[in-house]
Amino acid sequence: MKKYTKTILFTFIISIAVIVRFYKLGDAPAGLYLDEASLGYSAYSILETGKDEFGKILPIAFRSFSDFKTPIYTYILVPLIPVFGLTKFTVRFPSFILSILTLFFLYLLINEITPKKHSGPIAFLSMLLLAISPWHILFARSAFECNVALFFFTAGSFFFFKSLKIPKYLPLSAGFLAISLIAYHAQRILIPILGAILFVKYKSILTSKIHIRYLVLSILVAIAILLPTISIINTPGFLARASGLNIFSQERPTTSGMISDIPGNLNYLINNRYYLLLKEFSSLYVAYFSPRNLFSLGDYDKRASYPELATFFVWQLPFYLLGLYKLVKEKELKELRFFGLTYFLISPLPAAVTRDPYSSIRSLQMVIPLVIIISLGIYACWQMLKSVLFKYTAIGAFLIIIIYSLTKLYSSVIILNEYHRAQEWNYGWQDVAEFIKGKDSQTMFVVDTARQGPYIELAFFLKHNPSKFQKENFEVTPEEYYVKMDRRSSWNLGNVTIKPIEWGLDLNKKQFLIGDSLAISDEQIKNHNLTLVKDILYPNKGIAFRIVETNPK
Amino acid sequence: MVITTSIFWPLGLFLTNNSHDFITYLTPSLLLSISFILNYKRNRYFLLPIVIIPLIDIKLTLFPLFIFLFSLFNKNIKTLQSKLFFIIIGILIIFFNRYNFQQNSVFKLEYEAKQEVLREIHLYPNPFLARTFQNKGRIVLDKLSDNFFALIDPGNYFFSFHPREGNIINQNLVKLPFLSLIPVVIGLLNIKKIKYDFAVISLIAGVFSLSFVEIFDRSDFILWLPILIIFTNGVNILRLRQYRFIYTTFSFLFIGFSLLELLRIIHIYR
Repeated sequence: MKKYTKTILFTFIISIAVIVRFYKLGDAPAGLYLDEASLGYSAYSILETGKDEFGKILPIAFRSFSDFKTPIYTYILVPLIPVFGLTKFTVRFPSFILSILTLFFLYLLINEITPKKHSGPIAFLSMLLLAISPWHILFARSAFECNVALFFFTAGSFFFFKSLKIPKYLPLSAGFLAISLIAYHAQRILIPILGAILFVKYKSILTSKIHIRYLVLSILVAIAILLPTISIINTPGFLARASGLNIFSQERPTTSGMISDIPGNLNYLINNRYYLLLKEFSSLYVAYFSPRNLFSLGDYDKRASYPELATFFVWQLPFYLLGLYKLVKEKELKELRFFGLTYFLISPLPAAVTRDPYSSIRSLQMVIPLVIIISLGIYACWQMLKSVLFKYTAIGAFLIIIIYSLTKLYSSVIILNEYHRAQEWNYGWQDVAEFIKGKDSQTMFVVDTARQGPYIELAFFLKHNPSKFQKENFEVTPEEYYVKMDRRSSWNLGNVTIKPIEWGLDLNKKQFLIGDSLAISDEQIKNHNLTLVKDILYPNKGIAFRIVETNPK
Repeated sequence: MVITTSIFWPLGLFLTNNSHDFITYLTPSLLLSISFILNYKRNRYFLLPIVIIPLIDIKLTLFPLFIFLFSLFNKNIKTLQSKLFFIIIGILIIFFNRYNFQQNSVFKLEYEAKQEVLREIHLYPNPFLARTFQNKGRIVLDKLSDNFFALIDPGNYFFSFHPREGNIINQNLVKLPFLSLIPVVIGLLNIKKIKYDFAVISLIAGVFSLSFVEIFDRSDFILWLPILIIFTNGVNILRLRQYRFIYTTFSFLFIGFSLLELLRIIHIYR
């Protein structure tokens, strides 16, 4: 492939990736999911006070709703807030940038591991497929820690394969993979397994005379990066996520597949816990390879998928099957074959030990081997074409499919997602905050807590002073930060109190009550003599929030 | 292993259905088996039993046509006249069954689905975009693809659709022991080694024809025999000398777990 062709293709694909990820980055989704708000406000608090909203100086893991968040995303956000402000755009910006850099490293990685005569087409095809992948785009357009981890994971993998020839890249690889491990929960399982496999496979190279000192240095780099995380490894905070979701956890009272009313010893056999766990794990693991989940259903979580789109486009199915066949059968693909199969098989492991069926968040790293496999399938088809006429026809058809895919993305990401899934993206809090800001500081508000996490949404959109927040909402001492898991049930943001509405007490003074249509129904408005001030509506005209004013007697 | 595996699906079907339904859904598979035997004996009339299948289960109306189309390259049908004969037969079956089949197919449009398309059309900035993504054809295509993907989902055959049972109307039968997934995958990856290509043809024809059915549940029993042959292919590869240790270990595990699963089937469906 000629150099200028490569430059044109590279620029073209990066441009597509930037356009589909950057267009309406801060506005679609129009809502801000509470985890995104939490990442943003924690970063704002660190910037302003050097402590998070709970008063902990530079946490290793960030205390959140029912668990702890990994720290990398929050710390990346800190220097961006003075530049762009505390906005939805800012919170999603690191995801966007790192997703573009992931494409760049994917290109380098495939060039590094693919036999020279195939590397150009497969690298560009993989880049293009990742650029238009609904799976990757979703996480590139929203603040999810898994997307940051994916970047470090891909870059770390590239530096590893590069280091097999140039050993000085080995510490860099170890550094990136170690950061990936602390960037997202799933990588805590994945990276050690990957490390062990890579070491066994390339043991003779890594322990050779030239490599050994770089290997030692790499281990030291990894330990240095992981040391803070290791220091909290036994705390309930660190373990909260794993014990809550893990299918093997003893906290789970029953295992999936239990049959009730089986007497005595037969019960031990039929409801054998180990058998049931093995079967459940197998079913969850296999789900990540199922064409039904990959190309038709997508993630069951409405926030982790787009309407009418799965993780990949339907037209990619035949190429997935063919590419997989090629990857298994063609030994001449060498390093690419090893990389593709290994990453393909181990990537879903962290997700498969959790009880959710097909979690695209926890298995995001699988997008890399999958785009390689689909690219291999497309490339194999291309190689089958002998006549020039067929080749031109195939290029034309492929371009039409890409254009169709891009318009489909527009339809699902910009139009349908906004209309159907605004509630899942916590739409409406920005309008609530605007309403509150429009009143003077003496006006009192009570915001109902029927929905999870309103305090963080309001703290974010009101840009509430973090040092005031820390004083008004004490929850734990810094010493108990990772240990004490109890949460507050009410919060104060100046004149705004966030707590369950108490019909009686809260009606005795003049103030505004804010809640959803279940918390404040038409009947309650009538019975409690409230004045409906404003209904904040979802794009599909459903009621997101109601703002009412009390009329004390 | 093959015998153990072959029991699962028929047993589940027997225990979860009344005798009339059981015979209705079993017979097409038996007819296919006769066809398989005739094909194996290189009998030129091996496709004839398949013609009877739509008379027993209307949902399998398209099955003969797909079989006949895919069999065009089969060695046992030698003359062009024979090929055309079977294709014409397939078309005639569809023609005579068209009304009843349409009522059981993805082509039956529900009022609510049409209303949803109409509602969503208004969300788009221009009619071209709206018509591209929101049209009545999409309703059919969505149903077709839902069925197709459910039929090629490993979860359907090895885990009773677990962990995503809720997306499709199905009895969620335990169709195969979950460890049989390994030989089936090996069998599929070595599909070229299956000497018995009629099994592959009937598997693909079964998946395609059932995709057009509104609810394919139970009629999908037609896939039992082709899948069993793919499984046997996988087992045969595992039995090769270089994998003998793996094969022996796997066999013990397989039989143990499968017997446990059979016990569970009896307890679940009794």
